[in-house]
Amino acid sequence: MADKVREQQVYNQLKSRHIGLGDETTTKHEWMTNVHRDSYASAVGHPSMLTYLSIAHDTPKAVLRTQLIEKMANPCGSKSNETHNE
Amino acid sequence: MSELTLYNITLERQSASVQCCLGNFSGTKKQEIITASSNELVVYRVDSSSGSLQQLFTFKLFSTVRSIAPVRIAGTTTHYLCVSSDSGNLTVLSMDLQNKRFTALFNEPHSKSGIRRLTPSEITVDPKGRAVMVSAIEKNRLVYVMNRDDTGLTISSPLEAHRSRHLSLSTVALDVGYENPQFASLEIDYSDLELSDIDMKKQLTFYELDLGLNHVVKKHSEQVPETSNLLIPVPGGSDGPSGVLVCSSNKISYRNLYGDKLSISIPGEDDTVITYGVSHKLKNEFFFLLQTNYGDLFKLELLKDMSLSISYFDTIQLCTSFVILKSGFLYADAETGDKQLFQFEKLGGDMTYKSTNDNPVRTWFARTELQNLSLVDVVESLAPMISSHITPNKSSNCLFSLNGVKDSSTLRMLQYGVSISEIVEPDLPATATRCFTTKTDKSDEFDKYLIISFEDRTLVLTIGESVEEVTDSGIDLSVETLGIQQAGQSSILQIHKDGVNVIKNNTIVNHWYPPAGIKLTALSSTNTQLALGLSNEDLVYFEIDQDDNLIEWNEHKHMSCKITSMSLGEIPDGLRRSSTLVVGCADSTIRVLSTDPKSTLESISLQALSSVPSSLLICNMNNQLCVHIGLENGVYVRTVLDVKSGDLSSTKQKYLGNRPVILTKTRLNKENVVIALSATTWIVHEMESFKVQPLLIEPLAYSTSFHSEDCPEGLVGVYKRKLVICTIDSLTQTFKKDSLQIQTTGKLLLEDDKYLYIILSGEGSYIQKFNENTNEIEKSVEIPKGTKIVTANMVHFQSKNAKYLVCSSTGEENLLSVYDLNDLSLIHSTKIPEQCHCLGEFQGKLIAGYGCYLRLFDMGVKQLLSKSNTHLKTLSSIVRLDVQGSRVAIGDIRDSITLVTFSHEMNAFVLFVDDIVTRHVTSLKFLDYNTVVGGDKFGNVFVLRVPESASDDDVGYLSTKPLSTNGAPFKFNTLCQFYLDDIPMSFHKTNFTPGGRDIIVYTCLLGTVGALIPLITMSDIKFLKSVEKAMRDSLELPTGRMHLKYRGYYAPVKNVIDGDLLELFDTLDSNSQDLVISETGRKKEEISRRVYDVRLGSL
Repeated sequence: MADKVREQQVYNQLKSRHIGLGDETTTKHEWMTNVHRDSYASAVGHPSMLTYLSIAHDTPKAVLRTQLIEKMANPCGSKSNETHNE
Repeated sequence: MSELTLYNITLERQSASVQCCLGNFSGTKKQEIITASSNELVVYRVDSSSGSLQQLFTFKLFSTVRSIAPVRIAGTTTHYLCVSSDSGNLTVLSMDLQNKRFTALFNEPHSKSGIRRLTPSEITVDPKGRAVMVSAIEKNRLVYVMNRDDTGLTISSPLEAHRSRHLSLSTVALDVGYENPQFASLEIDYSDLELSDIDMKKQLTFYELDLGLNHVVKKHSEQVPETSNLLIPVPGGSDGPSGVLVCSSNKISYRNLYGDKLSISIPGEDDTVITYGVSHKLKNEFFFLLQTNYGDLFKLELLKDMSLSISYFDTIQLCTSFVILKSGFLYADAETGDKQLFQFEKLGGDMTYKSTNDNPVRTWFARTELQNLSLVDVVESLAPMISSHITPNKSSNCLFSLNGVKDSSTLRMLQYGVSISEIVEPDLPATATRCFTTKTDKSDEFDKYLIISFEDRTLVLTIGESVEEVTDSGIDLSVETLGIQQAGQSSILQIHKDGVNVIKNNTIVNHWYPPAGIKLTALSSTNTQLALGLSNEDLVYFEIDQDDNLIEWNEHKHMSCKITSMSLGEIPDGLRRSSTLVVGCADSTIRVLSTDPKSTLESISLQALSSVPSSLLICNMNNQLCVHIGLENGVYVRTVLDVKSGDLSSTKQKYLGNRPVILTKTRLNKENVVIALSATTWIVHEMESFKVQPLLIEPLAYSTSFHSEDCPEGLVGVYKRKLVICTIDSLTQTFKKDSLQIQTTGKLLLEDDKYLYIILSGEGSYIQKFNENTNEIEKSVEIPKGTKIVTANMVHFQSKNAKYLVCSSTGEENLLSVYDLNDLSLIHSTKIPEQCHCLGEFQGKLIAGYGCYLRLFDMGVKQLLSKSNTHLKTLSSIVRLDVQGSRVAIGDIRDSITLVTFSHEMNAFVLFVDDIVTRHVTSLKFLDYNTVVGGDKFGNVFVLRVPESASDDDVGYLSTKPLSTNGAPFKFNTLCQFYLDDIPMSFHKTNFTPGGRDIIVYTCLLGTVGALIPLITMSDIKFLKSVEKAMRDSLELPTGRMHLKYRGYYAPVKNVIDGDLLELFDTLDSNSQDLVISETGRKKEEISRRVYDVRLGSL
């Protein structure tokens, strides 16, 4: 039993260090949130992609960058919403 | 399986930049501006006397730059450049101006490579250079302590200042003088957001680096308005109160650690935000220059009584960043369109609006013409390059492109080659054969006479303030002059086919005639030497003595072959003569002879050529004595001459055109350049590396250099009945660029006959007709407001036997509208259920792709008539298509490229081949019936080919085949895959120069123009691959990025050799070169020759 607790602790520690780590208890919401955050971060980080989006949205790059990072805060709504939907 | 190997060369570097910064990187008092595009650094310096921006050099990084910042340790004079990139390292570079490169001082690894959420990327540097903070978008934040010791800069291991579940929008270092370094960060805490639906909150958090304890602590955190987006540090220490400006929507507030709060509202529209700002220190005060999302600049002052004042400054292009130079210039690194350099006329301050309370009042202001700034220089930028088109009508090397957005939009014409600035182009009385310039005295600085020879006479003009004909120069005007040479102190030699005249003080003082019936066939001369080739195959050699007498060498050398060309070269400084004479003979050889007094006219070596040398030229280039050879078959050859042994080595050659090559020399930027004349005119130079580029001038019959007071480095040439005097523009440009302002964001270019149809879709949609011959827009039609053009194409309807322009538009309804090509009048519109993103011509009908449907239309009287409709269930949204025969390549927003083929029996398209990879396609083009090249949104370029086992000969059978893995029955073979670090927007299959092979030219969003050259021989492929591998292994790239991983960012590189990397070989230091040489087991010369052969063969 103690082993399992320890394992869990190690896992939690790893999870807090390596964001996006999943296991069998990862919910769809958690996973989706992660994917969205990764995608937004990638769009902000690649200069070519940010330009592409900024032309498509007709928004200055600096403004779009802020908007995308803001979207990362809660890309899929709160967890409570998810349970409603299901 | 058949393979294809491509060789990638960037022709025009990416012009969009990520950021710019300012510093004394060279260690002198002069300030340098460094701009970083996503894969290159460009260094500029401002010449404050002329107010021009000089590009010092560019430096390829082979990694994606995310942020740059200058760092200078207090007390030192040199700035270093901190770079964060996709290498997962924090890189500190030092600039080496002499060798035009950056060298990495440190590459501190901190995370995985790639661009990730947790990769620290935003750099901010303590103003005293003591610490650097690098923060990621989420959570991670590292602080490096910088110091100096005897050896130079030192850097500590990173200190962590992570905050879990926090996003960072902006991080700055505060100016705190010599107290412990402090940083401020604008953060979003998302930990509560996931649990319940509450509004997002933003915080301003202060961090302090305790230099004594070597530890970073979070000092303080306070809530700021939720629209906050940017922090700007306030000067501190002895210059100001320190602290930070928090910019949010319509409002700027000042905050510091002591709890002071001040706010002021930003004049203007309701959704105004500050996108960038800098502070600038004057002697006893400082101010901020801030730019809003509308491009307006505001001057903000923090007054001594702790109140803020704001005033409208000027409106310029929206910038990624800008810097203010000490010499009173502002460099604006524009987000779209050309980068601009402004000079400050005054510092504004009129119409100041002041605020001392927390409830600011909004005001308005009027935008005016530039009042405080004046534009002094621009740097051309192609970014964003939305679409391009290569026209077959003009010479084959002309590329039209649509650049910029909204009011910075331009139509550009890019011509491959070096441009000239024409000074005069007068008419001549007859067709000229040659032209020469000469001075009359050895000590003259400038040329005095311009001599033009015709078939039966000679014309002499004086060069001065005006160019006038003279008859009393002493030059015999009744013969065709073959050569003119200023000889000895003050004589001129006129060489014609029947002899030589020696002219002194405007009279002929001496003659030399060949034996009776013998003519001159070739000649070469220097100030003290003259060599003539005679039609009896004899070579005559003269020297000119101190008294300007022509002294004939006592014997003729019989060459036993017709002499076609010869060259003596230049007289080295301090010597009396050039010691080598190269003679070209009709038996396709060249012979190197000595002109040394001890061994006059002794043969040193002989070299066979592929054709008769029609022209020879010895000149110094890049500190090597080169023999340039022009052959009768139109090939130009350059070899390096070893004076002692007469050996010719390092051969590079290029086919120039179908006329015998004539070579002449001129000077540019104090360097020798060779002008090679064939069917077109070329320039050969070694400014950065060895290059043969087309010179954008008429095909000259002859040319020579031109030195006058007004034009110290000019070129004069003759063609037909014209004389042209011009100067050569910058040799660092690959393209000559002309631009034309257009109303709004361009969408695409189409061509019919001599007209280019420009589709604009920004603030309003337009169709414009541009005449390629007059370079004017002849007609412009605006489509109704509220409708936007999505795409368009030219379609030849077989049923009407006429060509029309079809536009897909969206607005209240999605329409396909047909326009007449002549007057651009609307013929009719047809409603379609969804937005149509791509149109094409398919077997005399219109093919349209929308959603996952492909539909064929024929032209009707009132509307388009639907002829066939196919639902392609495996696709999500069709965005691009290209037609070849009965096959259509479809680019999907998610499912890469799918090939469908048309079945007449079923009157529908049948799935044929699709890709196994998912991609967001941005452009595609058929290379041949079985091969497609495509580009995706993530910056990859790839080539797909139909597998050999697949066939669509029997479409009926094909349609019965089972679908495999929810897709087409067959899967593409991926032939090539390569990461460009820029989004490919258009592909063209073309040959860029006459005689060049077909290559793929691509243009990308951020302004890259590149070429993919197919390699033909297996030995080339093996050789270049081995060199590329050796370079990858032995070359430490500046940011520590692995080249193989960089070019395989999303998918492993396949069968594409990176020419940009290989061409660095010549610029490497000898240690690195030796490594490559030892790993490949090839000679240095062979590597450098074969690498250039690829470029010279096609470009």
